[in-house]
Amino acid sequence: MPRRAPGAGRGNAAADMDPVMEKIFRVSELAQLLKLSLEAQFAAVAVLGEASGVVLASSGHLYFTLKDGGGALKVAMFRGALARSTLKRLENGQQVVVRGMLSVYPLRGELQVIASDIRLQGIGDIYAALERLKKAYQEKGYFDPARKRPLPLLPGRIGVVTSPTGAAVRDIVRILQRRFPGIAIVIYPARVQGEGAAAEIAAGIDYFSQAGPGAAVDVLIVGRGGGSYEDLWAFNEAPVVEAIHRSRVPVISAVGHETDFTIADFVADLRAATPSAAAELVVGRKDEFLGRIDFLRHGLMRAAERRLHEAASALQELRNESALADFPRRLQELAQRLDNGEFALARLFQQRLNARSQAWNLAARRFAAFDPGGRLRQRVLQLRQLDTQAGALVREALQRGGERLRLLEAALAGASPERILARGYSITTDSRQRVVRDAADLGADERIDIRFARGRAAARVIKE
Amino acid sequence: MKKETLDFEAALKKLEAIVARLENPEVPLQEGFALYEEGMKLSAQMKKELNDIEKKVKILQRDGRGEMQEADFEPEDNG
Repeated sequence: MPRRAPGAGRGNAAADMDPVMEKIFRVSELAQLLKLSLEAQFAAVAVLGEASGVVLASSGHLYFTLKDGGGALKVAMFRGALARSTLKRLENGQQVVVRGMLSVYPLRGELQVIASDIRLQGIGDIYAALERLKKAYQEKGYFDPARKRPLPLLPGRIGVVTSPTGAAVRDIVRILQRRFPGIAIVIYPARVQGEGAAAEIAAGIDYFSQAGPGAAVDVLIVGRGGGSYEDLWAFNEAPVVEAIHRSRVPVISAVGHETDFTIADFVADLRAATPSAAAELVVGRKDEFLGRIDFLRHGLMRAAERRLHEAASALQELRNESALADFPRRLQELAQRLDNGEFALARLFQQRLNARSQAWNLAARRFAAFDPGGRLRQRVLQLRQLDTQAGALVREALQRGGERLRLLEAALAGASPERILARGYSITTDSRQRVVRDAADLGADERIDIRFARGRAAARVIKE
Repeated sequence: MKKETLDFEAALKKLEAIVARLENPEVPLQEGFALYEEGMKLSAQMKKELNDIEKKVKILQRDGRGEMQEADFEPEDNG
């Protein structure tokens, strides 16, 4: 530490301004003094800012200005340092951390950083480190899809490991309480950035993973709100990754914004893009749950109604069956009546025909004497006409009867006992071969016969 | 706690199965009545359980012996 100004002790500046002790410097001398002083005091600084006015001089040296909202600083990186650096390219607007020595360029009296190392922020160095970590854990099988556990449909308690003061915890609580009022949430407060954050987050995950009954949760949200890559770095660190990996409780990661990815996201059972998204994923809406139950209740009622309706129809069919039981007999009667009708008609026809024939014969005989020509022939023609008409009438009557018979047969087939039996009903007849309609008609130990769609069985009545 | 949720998930599956079975015309009417009653009872219970959930938000704090204890959490409302 050079103390070139005269006078011992502290407060050189004050001593310099003392008129008695005043020393007048040459510009180059003061600049040199400043340079040495700065270089000694700030031999190794790291400074973050945005690169602008980037110039790669023909000499091979790199010059640019480092800025942020409130200040600017010249940076020079000499050819040798540049060659040793991992920096490949530097563009205006890039965020960089410059490491080096603070100095003065005496010729211009300008403050500048002589850079020994320049690292890109965000993408770049951190990105490369992240990729290396990701690859390592992937090879260890930490991201195996088969490891991902399903989340419970309705978690009884939801654990949250995050900062108790950040926007993340506020968003998670607010959204969960809106979606599912009254749902149980337990927060494990942990620092989420800086030194020791990873260990605190890991301790929170382990706490829930090992919690006994009463303290246990069914699912865990681990995360924080948005920030720079360094802010989120704890979620890439081994303690957090390992804690998620060994957690017995399914873990949802919820780190930063949608575009941020951390190792925690890959090893977690589910990655939520943001803490708010995690709150949306962890449990359905209460009204959706209630709606689902109401939908199923409605389904129950509808199905029950339909079944009752079907049963009523079946009952009606059973009732109709007793009418159908004596259908064949009625059909026979009908056929007989038709037959009778046919006979009656035929008989009538025959009678008429006979009467006509007799009349004709009589007339023929009568007229033979008087009218051997025209009149007789006319009568014969009339009789033949009558004959034809009567025949057509009979045929028509028979045809109509047959048609009806066919219709009746078809109707009978549609509701035949066989068809009813085929649906699983059976017909029971008692010892006198009568169809049983009332159990009270049966005597104890009476032999009954049961007819099924296929086959018959004999049985005995057990009266209790 | 854990048991409660598993029960709900299982109950929902069961309720869905009951509705499906009741809709099957092959199921005898007698069984259908029993299914209907069981389903209505189960769904009423589930609704009640859902509506009865009324838990507070808790935060873990270390007590004097360093043990974690749950305390009521009040998020500071600055948003």
